[in-house]
Amino acid sequence: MKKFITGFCQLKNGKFFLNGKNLFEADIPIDEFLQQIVTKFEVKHPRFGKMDRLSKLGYTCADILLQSLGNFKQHQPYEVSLVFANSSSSLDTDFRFQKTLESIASPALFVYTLPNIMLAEICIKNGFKGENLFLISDVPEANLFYEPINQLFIQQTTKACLAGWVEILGESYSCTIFTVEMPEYKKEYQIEFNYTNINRLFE
Amino acid sequence: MKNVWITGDALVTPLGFSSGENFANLLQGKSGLKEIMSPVSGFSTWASFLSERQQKKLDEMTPPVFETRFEKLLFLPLKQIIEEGNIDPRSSKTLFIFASTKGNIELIGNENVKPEQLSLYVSVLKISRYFGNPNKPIMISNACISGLVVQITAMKLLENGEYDTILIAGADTVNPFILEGFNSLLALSPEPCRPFDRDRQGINIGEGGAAIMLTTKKPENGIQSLIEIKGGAITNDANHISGPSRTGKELAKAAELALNQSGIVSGDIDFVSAHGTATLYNDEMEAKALTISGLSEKPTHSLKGYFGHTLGAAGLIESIICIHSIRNNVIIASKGFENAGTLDHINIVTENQYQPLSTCIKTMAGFGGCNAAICYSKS
Repeated sequence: MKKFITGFCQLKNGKFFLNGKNLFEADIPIDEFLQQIVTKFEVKHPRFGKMDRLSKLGYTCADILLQSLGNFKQHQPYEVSLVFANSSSSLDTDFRFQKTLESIASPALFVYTLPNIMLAEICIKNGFKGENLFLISDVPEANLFYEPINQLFIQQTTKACLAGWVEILGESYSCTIFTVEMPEYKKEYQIEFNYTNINRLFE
Repeated sequence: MKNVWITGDALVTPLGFSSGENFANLLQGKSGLKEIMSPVSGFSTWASFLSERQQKKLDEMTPPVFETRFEKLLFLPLKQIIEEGNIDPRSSKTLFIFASTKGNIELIGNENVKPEQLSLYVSVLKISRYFGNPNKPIMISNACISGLVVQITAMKLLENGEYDTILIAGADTVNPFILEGFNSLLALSPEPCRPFDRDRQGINIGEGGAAIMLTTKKPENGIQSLIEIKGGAITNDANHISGPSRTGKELAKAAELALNQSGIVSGDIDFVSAHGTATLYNDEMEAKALTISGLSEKPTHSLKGYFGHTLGAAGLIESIICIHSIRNNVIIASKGFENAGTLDHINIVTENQYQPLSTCIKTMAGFGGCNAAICYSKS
């Protein structure tokens, strides 16, 4: 069963790419960078300011990618699954929550001390109700994504998948998010879903 | 589809250092819950945590390379199933999969701690390498459903055929970070938790480690009956980042998909091992979900009154108890339950119930709106 990568976006080293095209670059800290692309690409979320940095990074990139794929919305809620990974889990927020223990523990930070909360933010905004998988590994590579995504499509409930590597710890970050769909959902951009092409996304 | 058999399981919890010891203690109604005061802000709650004596025993039974309670709680049950199962962990057809929410988080706040000491992947790679496994381990962190997600992931990978044996382990610990966090959410119970009860006041946290061996190689029929994982599914509420669904429809959908995959209907289920965290909202949502799924009359328990909520390990620990329940034809009583406390009526088991058992469903829900369900059956 052939599947296609129907879009991808990347944010690394102060550059934002959509389907390989560099759409924005600035040599500024990541929090400021995100704020700029949120404005530029009209990323809207009523609680954006309350999110932790991992969720802001993942949510923003996913939103810009999904906006560019107008017809991704045709998938039914349970048909869309998410497979994400990173290396630091929610450690960036864990450190911030730990600091609040010196005065009063912050419930608003504690709820973000799990990496899959970022997936929840994406699911809530887009109404995605399919499977969620969050993997922790050392480096982004096809190995993490290929088989789990393949298996989702074999189960037949899943017709589309949002996947990616979203990593942030202090000032170090990288984000690559892509969509996988069946051939009938043809898009402007598409490359076959296979090991080589997934690994290319992480180059 | 290939059959996936459970051919080994081990538990290390305050209720014992083997699955058998844990199960025997459950049958006697013993609980691991004890009163505990948070060393940070001084509130008092109940939690299931290792005693000093058990901690010492755990230290003695694990090699010094595993320095933290989390790593020891992953290592020891794995060692047990590898030795008892007489399998070769160095085979390329064997894969290690791990579950945890917070791993070594008890180290956070120590002055000299480095981020890599808090890395879940660094910990689990150390363990799979110790056993000489050539494959990169898979580390899954899906909040409180992690312990079921690892089994569902393993089942799919085994069906694919690249591996013939998967060793799964999960652990989480009781520590100030977790206690203070749940306390800040006003989610902790000041007394032993009472899942599904009218007077429930919230969660008790628990610690423990668990390991399960799954294989597609048909085992020889031994004295014990063979148990299979028949199917499992995951859904998301898409409703709230920390609160459960208002309707229970999404957990019910996970149960429906798990049943479909297993080729069984809700009528075939002998009992339900629910999540039952004893928070107001979780238990209410689960009762709704069980009603939608046609499971409301099925004998149901929560094991949180024995183990507390063991977070990323909970799915594995509670699944192992399901497996032993099916083998021993006894449904464990739901500890802490007295009076019905959910709008939708469900059938909570108040005393150990001896009856022929062949099939059960295990459900869980977690932060991030995630839900999971798995069906186990006698072969």
